[in-house]
Parts: sequence; structure tokens; C-alpha cells
Amino acid sequence: MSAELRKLAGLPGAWAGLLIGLLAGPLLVVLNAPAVRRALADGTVTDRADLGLQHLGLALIGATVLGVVTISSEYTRARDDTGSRQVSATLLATPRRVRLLGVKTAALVLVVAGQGVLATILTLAVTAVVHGTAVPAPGWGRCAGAVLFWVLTALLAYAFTIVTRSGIVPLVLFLVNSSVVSVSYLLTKLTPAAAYLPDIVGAHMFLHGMDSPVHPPPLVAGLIMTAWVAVLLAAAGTLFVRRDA
Amino acid sequence: MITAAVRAETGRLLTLPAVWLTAAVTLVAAGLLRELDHTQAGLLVLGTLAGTTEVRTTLLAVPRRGTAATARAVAVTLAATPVSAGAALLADRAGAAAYLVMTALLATGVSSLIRHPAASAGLLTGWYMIAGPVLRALVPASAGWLPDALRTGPALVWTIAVLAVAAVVLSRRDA
Repeated sequence: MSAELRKLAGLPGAWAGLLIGLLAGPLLVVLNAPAVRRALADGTVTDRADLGLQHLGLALIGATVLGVVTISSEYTRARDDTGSRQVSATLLATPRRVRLLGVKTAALVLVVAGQGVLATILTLAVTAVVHGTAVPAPGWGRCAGAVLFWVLTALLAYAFTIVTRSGIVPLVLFLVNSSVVSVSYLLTKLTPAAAYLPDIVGAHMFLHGMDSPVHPPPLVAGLIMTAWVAVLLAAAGTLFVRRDA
Repeated sequence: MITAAVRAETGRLLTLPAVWLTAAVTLVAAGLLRELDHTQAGLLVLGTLAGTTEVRTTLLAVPRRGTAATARAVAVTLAATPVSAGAALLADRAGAAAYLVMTALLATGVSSLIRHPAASAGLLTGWYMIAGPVLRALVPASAGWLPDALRTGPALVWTIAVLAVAAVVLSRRDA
């Protein structure tokens, strides 16, 4: 476990992910302040407590990057002429793959959960400074939902990377999807079923005024997203255990 | 010399399974979403694949680096043109085809400077999908100056500049 944590701490990509995740939320609150004030003045906001937490959406890229590099770093070829990969050394040290994956997952969850809690606190603190009482602080339940969404998103990217074994595909996919207008959101316009994609349904855990064809209660939303992650992790785990490294 | 290098580089690109996969996903996305704002990410990946894979082998086969850089740019143009044209037509924006080809070329240059596939793809997609749109929302005039706003003019200038820098760096730096 400490070996996996130290490996993560040695990755420049992991630090980049950590910083993006922590700073993007507060930064966006400041940058987006004029638009939020206008929306408040127009009265178009359906749930004012959403306004603080919704800025966490883009900061999630940080969690995604952490989830991706945890795995993709194992499969990156060394730049020397051996072309060796970290995964060979890792499996030599920890041959039991289920155990290895368990420890790796635990290390990631630990880091990302800490990051999620800090990012939520920072974002809400900056929101309080910028908007004062105009944007009420959301309750504890919604903050917990936001952190859970954060951790589950990282695990989603992590499971995906175990399957693809390359950082490019999941990184591009998740970045495109965290774009200002997400692809999942565009898909909900094509078919209402897309509202059950993990990133859309999971957001109901902490946002209430979302534009979506369905509005499941936070607990149900959390369960659906957790189910997505559990299924993907199980599939990825099976592949990791069965496949040649 | 140069025609042989172009033929070799085109052959290399067209036999990378990831290139075909990217092309297919890009066209499906263009057909499904009917827009290019997200779809252009496919061209970024295409360029990144060309710019970061098998660089050492390429230089072993074509040691003249200027020739290698030129051949790569021509091969990317050849490979990206049908994908760009298809995506632009599917999105009902036929005029944007040239912009998409330039996007792939720009990604080739940037990624060959960064020399790490995932880092390049992350940086480029992060810029095109997130930083760029956020900047445009704050400073609308930035669309006329940056390469990511589906405008041919700025994209052309940026692409030429980045490719020139990448070619110089490729000929000067240890591979």
C-alpha cells in the first residue's frame, strides 16, 4: 500500500491532476462570478445552493487524471532502449493480481477522497467570499454527495484505463465529456436513456436544478452511479487478472 | 527520397490500428452529434498518434530529420483529409474540413514537441474542450486569435508556426 502511494507520488501527471482538481473549482468560481450574478438577478436559477457546487464539475478533470495515470503509468514504455514497462516490476513484486488491484484501488481512493474533500471545502469557501449570502451553502448531505461523485468519477476513469491499458483513450474521452457542454448531455437530447449515464445520473447526488429528462432522488442517483462503477471495476478486474500483462 | 519517405510514413500511419479506430469513432461522433466542437478531438488524437509513436524507428529509417518532419506532415494531411471531409459533411459544415486537417497537423507538431502521447493528448484536448471555450466565454475576441475556435485563418497561422518549431526542434534535439 505504501509502495503504491509512493509510486503515485512520483508521477508528474498525478501532481498535475491533484493541482488541477484542487484549484480549478475555486478559480472557476471567481471567473464565473459575473455570469452567476446575472443569473441570480434574472431569477433563472432554480436552486441557489447548486451554484457553489456546480463549479466542481470542471475540477473533476483532476480526479479523472489521477484515475488514469494510476494505471497508464504502469503501461508507459520506458524511454530508454529497453522499452520496459513498470507493470512487469510491479507484478514481480506483487504477483497476486487481485491483491495488487485492491491495494492500488485503495491508494487511489484515499488520495482522491482527500482531494475531493479539500476541493469541495475550497470551492465553497471561495463561493462564500465572492457571493456572500446570495448563494447559500449546501447541506452536509449534498457535500458528501459531491465528494462521492468525485471519487466514483476517478474510479470510472481508473477502471476504463485498466481495460484500454493506454492513457490516451480514457483521457480524451473524459476530457471531451467534461467539456463546457458535455457529450452525455448532448446524448440526453437524442435519447432520454442517456440520462442514466454515470456522469449525468451521479450529478443528481449534489445538484438539484439540473436540466435532465429524469430527476432521481440523491440516494437512488448515488446507487445507480455506484452500480456503474462496480460493474466496470469488476469487468476491468477480471481482465487484469486473466490477461497477459 | 522525399516520395519514398512520404510513402513509408503514410504506410506506417495507415497500419496503426489506433488510427483506424480513431477515424471510425470520429465519424460516428460527427454523425451522432452533428457538430464539430466535440468531434474535433478525434483529429487531435490522430495528430498525436502521428507525432508520438515509433519516432525512433522512423529516424532510423529516415535519418534526415527535415525529410522525416516533412514526410510526416504530408502523411498526416493525406490521412486526415478523408476523416475531416467526412466529419465536416456529417456535421453539415463542409467549409470546416480544412480547419480539421489543420487541427490534426497542429496536434502532430505539439505532440512531437511534448513527446509523450497521453500528456500531449491530455493537454491538447484540455485546451480545445475546456480552456478554450472558457476563455471564449470570458473574452469573446479570443476566438479570432486562438487556433481552437473552428476558424480557418487563426488555425492556419498557428499550424504553420507550430510545425516550423517542431521541425527545427526535431532536427536539433536528441531523439
